[in-house]
Amino acid sequence: MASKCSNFGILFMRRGNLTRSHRESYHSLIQALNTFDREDQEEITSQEAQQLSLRALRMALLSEKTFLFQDLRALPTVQALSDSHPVYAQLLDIFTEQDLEDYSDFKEEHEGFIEKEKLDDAKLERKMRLLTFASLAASTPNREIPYANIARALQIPVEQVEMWSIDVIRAKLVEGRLSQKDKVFKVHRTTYRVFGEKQWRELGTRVDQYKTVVDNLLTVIRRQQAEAQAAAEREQAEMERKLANAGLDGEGGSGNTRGGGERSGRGGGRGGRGGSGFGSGRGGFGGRSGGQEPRESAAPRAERDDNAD
Amino acid sequence: MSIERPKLLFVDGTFAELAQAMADIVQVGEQVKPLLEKEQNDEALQIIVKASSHLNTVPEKEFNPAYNLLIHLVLESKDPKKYLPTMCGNLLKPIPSSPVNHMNLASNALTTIFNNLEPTNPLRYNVFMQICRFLKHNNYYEGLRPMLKNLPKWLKDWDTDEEDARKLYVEVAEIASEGGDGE
Repeated sequence: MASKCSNFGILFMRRGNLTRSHRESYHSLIQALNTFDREDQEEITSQEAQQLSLRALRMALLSEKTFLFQDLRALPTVQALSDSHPVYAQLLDIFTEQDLEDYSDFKEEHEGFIEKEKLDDAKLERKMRLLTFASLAASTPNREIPYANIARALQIPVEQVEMWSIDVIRAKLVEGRLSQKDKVFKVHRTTYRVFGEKQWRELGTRVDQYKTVVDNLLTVIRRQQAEAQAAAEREQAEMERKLANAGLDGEGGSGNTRGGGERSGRGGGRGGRGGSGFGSGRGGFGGRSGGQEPRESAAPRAERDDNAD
Repeated sequence: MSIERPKLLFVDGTFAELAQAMADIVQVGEQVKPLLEKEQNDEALQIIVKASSHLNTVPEKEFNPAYNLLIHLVLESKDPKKYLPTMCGNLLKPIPSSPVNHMNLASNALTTIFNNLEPTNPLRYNVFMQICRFLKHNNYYEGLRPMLKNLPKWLKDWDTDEEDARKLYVEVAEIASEGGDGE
């Protein structure tokens, strides 16, 4: 077993899809960043650490599939970027937990940065819109977002709301349903971009609410159970009373049947034990015991048993 | 790690016999003969390995058997580490006798080296890096993918230090991203 995965094999297969290899490349880079000693300040601020962190950050920003940056931001080497590359760090903060408006402000504040760093503004802006949608969905307590609110948050015309809703669902950031009639987006599930103390508290409240619901359910079930049990007991008492009322007749009758049943059962049992062969030759004796037996076939075998006694 | 690993290479003969056979293939038989007679095995092997680039020109169907023999000799020697770089290096070079199939041949030989080293042998790290280089040359990330999930365990088995582990991960990241950009 142990040697099973210790060997190397190269399989010549067709090329896999590109998104996957991008994701794996990113994953490998994160693993590389994890090899820096978190305690060693010198190491995590080294030139190499900076370069690899920047590479991972750029990769995450430009990737079609990466929407959550919290894990990346938690890496010590990435955190160290806030000293060495403050503008990048600011951009990361925006993508981790801020909204489209902050991104627009960022572009104003650092004009030309996106272009200079060869980051694709169209791609980034699209990602920010989707992320803003996710935040909006997460922060809407009644789980219904009017089209107008979506349009405002995403800075888009109302006609485009449905298209963006579909995109955000496809990006798997939000699950929900469009209600064209009511002009609202009904949220079924959302993704929290950052899961911090606030979210834990929120989760706590929800679990508490859920607990109350389950407790209530339990009370109802217990009550029903008790009622059902009481009803069953009442029914049984009723039955017993009826039987008692039926009197001695019933008792005598039942005794008779019991006796009969027992006798025929014994006969059958012996018949089974008797097996084949023997019975047939002495069929004539059958008449003696057979008279008591209800079944003809059992008679000759029963006779053999009598002999044995 | 108490499980005894099965030998993956079957060979028949003494070191001297096999080394002589190998030396003949790479055309240094005359040079090696006196050394083997004096049981100067390391010196003999050194000459063989040095001439081993000649293996890249043997006919296609003899390539892997010949390499298996060389791999056996090297791994049985006192210090395989000394010979592995040359051997792996040769495998990264083109194989003129087999322009179509060279990737298969070379990767077979490289994986044979890897698999015949003990799972905990740190030399596996070096061979792995060579394999990475090989796959990168050939722009063939797919060959690496099935191994990725084993990496953390392997690095632990080889007792790789952080810096080397990082190098390996960066290399993998590069191959993976090139595998994507290449198309």
